[in-house]
Amino acid sequence: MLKRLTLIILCALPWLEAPAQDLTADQVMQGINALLNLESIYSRGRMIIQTSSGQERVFELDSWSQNGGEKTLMRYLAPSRVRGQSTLMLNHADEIWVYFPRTGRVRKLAAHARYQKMEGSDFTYEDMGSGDTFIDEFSSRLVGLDKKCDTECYHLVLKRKPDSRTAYAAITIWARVSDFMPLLIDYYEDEEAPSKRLFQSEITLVAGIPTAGRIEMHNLLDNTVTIMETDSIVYNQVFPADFFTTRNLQNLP
Amino acid sequence: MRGKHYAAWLAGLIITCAPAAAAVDLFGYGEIDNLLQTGDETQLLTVSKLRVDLLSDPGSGFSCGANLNFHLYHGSTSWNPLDYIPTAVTTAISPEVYELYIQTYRDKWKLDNIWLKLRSGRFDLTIGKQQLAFGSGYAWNPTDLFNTINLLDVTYENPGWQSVRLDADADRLGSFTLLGAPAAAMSDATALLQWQRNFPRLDVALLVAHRPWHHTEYYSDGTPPAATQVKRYLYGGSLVGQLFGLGIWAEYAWHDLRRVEFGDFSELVVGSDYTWRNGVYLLMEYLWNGDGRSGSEEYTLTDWMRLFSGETRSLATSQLYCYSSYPVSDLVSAGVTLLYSVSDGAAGLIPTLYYSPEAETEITLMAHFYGGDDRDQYNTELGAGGLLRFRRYF
Repeated sequence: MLKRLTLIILCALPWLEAPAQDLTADQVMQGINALLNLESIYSRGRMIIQTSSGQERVFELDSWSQNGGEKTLMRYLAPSRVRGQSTLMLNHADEIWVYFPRTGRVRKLAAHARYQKMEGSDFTYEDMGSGDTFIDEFSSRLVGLDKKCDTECYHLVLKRKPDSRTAYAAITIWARVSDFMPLLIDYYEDEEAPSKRLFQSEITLVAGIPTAGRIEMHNLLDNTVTIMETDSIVYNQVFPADFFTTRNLQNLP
Repeated sequence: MRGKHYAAWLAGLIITCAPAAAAVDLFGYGEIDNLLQTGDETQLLTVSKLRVDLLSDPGSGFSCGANLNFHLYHGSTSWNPLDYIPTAVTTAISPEVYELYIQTYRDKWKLDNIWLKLRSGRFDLTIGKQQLAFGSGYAWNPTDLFNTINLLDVTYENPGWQSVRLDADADRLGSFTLLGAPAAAMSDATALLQWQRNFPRLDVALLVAHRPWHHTEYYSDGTPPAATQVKRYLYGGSLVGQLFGLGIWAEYAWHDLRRVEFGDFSELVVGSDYTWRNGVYLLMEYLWNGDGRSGSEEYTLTDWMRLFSGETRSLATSQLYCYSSYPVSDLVSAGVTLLYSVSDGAAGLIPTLYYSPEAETEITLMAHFYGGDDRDQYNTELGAGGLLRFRRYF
């Protein structure tokens, strides 16, 4: 099954074999998008928040996503303070529900919440459920090839399209030429200086798919860092039809 | 009798969960609340609470859980609700009758929730004492027949309720909740049916329920309070969505009372919220309570006591709840709540400071002030006060 998925990705990108300098910005963006938004993913890992005062907060969480990130479910396992708290995001985080186990309440958050920090981290709900945002909400320009982290990378600049609802005015991406894996992403809330910077590292092949074991989001304005570490990840898992529902928020395995 | 009942539940849970005993998780929190109340005399009450949760989820569509709450009270453990009612209302009460209203907190433990859940395909069956929450409102939930929210501490957990609950997913038709809560007499039992559907950017719920309505009459002359139980049907619904980027919600309930001396009444809540990019959050909610009074001169001893006991959601017909918060830093957030009684023009203010010095520790500092005239819902006789809460999770 996983081999089939890898094959699907490769078939979707026929220009993969073309010389790096011959690809267009759209082709590179589609390569990045296909890699970041696989059909379905289950992962277990940790979110480590390093606060501006130097403290470290560790959250353990499970995450499920489907349809290239269009549907996402997350559940906190630890710390005890948020244990069992779950979040459902549909339509690329356009609709968000949060379940609070101690009160048994499910609260729906309006679209404005997508710009807010998730549990005080440097990831917003929009970051976690962004899906095809890079293609749908931005126009891209390939600056050229560039060396980042000692690796040859595509250097892309993305500008927010008119009428877009994304929080970011621009995004700069450096993605590995070899497999389109982004190593560094700069997020600009205005066009002057980046407000956040994302690093992906510890990249290994899982079921033939390049997978980052460590993702760091640096908030350059608040001087905080959030690290996502993946302990286990399963691609192309088949979820029941009613898995991404508000009812299931309270029933996660 | 009640103790035996819980003991039987606990024994049942242990027997049922025994095969999965290795997978039972133990967690919870310890909490110390220091409550300061000023008025004719200053009172300080300290409440130490330990909540112990047990949860077993071995999979295969079966899970069970329980929590025990232990409370210890120190300091001013006795209070009299009459001290917080305008003098104009209590003036006819003699000192002997005054004594009858004194209430005392006693150390206690409580099996707050104990439930067993079975999941099979499209169905979830939950049996036992469990958290029940209905409605889309934040500060008021007219369709919630079980809980009344404390406006000074809106997000605090509610008690569990003995019930049998069946949730069923019906695909494009939405989902259904069927709930029954037993009572000594069949006519006093609760039955509830809710239909819920998530449309794009709009969640809708419709609800019909039967649950007795309680009205207790209080007297100034020393006559013991007279409680009346009235057969009541509730028809209601709620919706949550967004409009022009704002979160919006509404909740409506019509209480059909089957006694001529008590008129039917309805309750409506509408609310909206928004978060700015800088983190400032603003929530506004309005309550129209048909069980309330249109002006402070109409508030009676019975009205005040029913408010304190949770029999009614507000004294006044028309109420406003506003809440705003701002993340001052990674670990500190500040908030302020405004309670405004539109009917009598009185207001209360609740500034709050929240600090999390460590991942499992929370410190909450809260104060409350009231500025209304003598007889208003938020009158100065309620006194200023505050709460300092330390909570440590394990």
